[in-house]
Amino acid sequence: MKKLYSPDNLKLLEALSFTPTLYAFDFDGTLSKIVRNPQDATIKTSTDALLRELASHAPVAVISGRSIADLKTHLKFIPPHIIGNHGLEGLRTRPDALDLAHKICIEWKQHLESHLSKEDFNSGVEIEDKSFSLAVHYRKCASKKKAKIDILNVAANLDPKPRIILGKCVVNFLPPGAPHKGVALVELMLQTGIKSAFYIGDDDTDEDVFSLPNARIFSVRVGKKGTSQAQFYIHEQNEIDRLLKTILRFYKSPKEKLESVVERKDVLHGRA
Amino acid sequence: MAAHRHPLKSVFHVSLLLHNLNKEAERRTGLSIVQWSLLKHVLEMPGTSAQELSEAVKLHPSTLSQSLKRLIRKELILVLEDPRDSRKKVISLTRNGKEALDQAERQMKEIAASLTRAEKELYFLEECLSSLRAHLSREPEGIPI
Repeated sequence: MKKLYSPDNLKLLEALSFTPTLYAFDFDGTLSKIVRNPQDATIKTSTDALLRELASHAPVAVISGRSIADLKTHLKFIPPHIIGNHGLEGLRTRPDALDLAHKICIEWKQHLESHLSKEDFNSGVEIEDKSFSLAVHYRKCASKKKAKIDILNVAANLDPKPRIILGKCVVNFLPPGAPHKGVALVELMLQTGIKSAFYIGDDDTDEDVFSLPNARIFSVRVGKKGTSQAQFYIHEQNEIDRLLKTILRFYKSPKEKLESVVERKDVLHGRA
Repeated sequence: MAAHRHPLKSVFHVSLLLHNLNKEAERRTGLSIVQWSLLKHVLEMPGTSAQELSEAVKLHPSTLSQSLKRLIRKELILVLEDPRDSRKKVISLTRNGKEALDQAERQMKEIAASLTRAEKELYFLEECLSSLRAHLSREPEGIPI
């Protein structure tokens, strides 16, 4: 894992702009800040404007663990490709597979509600029903470690066995056989016929993309983590605007770039 | 007349012609056909590995290595350590490389257009040379006792 902002690594990023490339973004912790209450997550106006501008140059996608319906309430600009529930929604998932996932989630939710203790719920454990998957949040709990153990203990008796993805203060429950974000990105590349992709995410759920053995996926993690399979990292979420601006600059012609540099020099020298 | 010529002499002449064609293309467009072809592949495969590129262009890794060195010298490609595995390298096009490709594009199209009438013959020649190469690369048969 290397720092993205080095002259050489930025040249690798620039090369993506020479060929059709799909730019895909995680939402929570990437396009928006992580907040105590997930429903309060918002995308900054500046980030939204930059994302919109990028979409005028290249295909853009948002791939999230949230449901599409929920995601749409948090995004101002709805990109052409929006994938929810870690890949269950927004791709060509068969309707019967979605029905089955929905039924399984109803049963899991009932089991979790009846088997997690009142103490857990009182301390801040929250079940988020995303129709085709569940997310059990424990960010608000004073003892996060205990809450996580309790959730996983109850999850051990779920039938059918869920695919569990641990996130930041959240345990995600996906129906068996459900895709993950890595499958979603590859499927999207196949659907769009685009062979090169950029992906940025901050969470363990994004490792499914980072660990893909595909040299044509340029991967960036928000936050450095030694065990991550991402190729590059940026330090924190508030660097997302800088990154979007960098990508956009690559799409502008060298002439425009030169003009903008000259203009900046003029401003610096009081000639504007 | 051509029927009396030793077939390997024709192969030799084809080889010479290709060499000269490459030189001429480089003189006119700044890129030889080999370089142009490699850059096209690198353009479409940003961050590719040498092995993947070698398979895509069907060039032997040692031949590819020589060609890549020339492109690096011309600052048309960038070869960096793979961020996930320091034993490996990743290859990408530079902006100079992209501009060189764009500039060469029109003239390469003209060269290609001049060959459209001979497409079948070229394909046939490629087949013949591939067969010859396959034949030569086969292990020699043992001498019967």
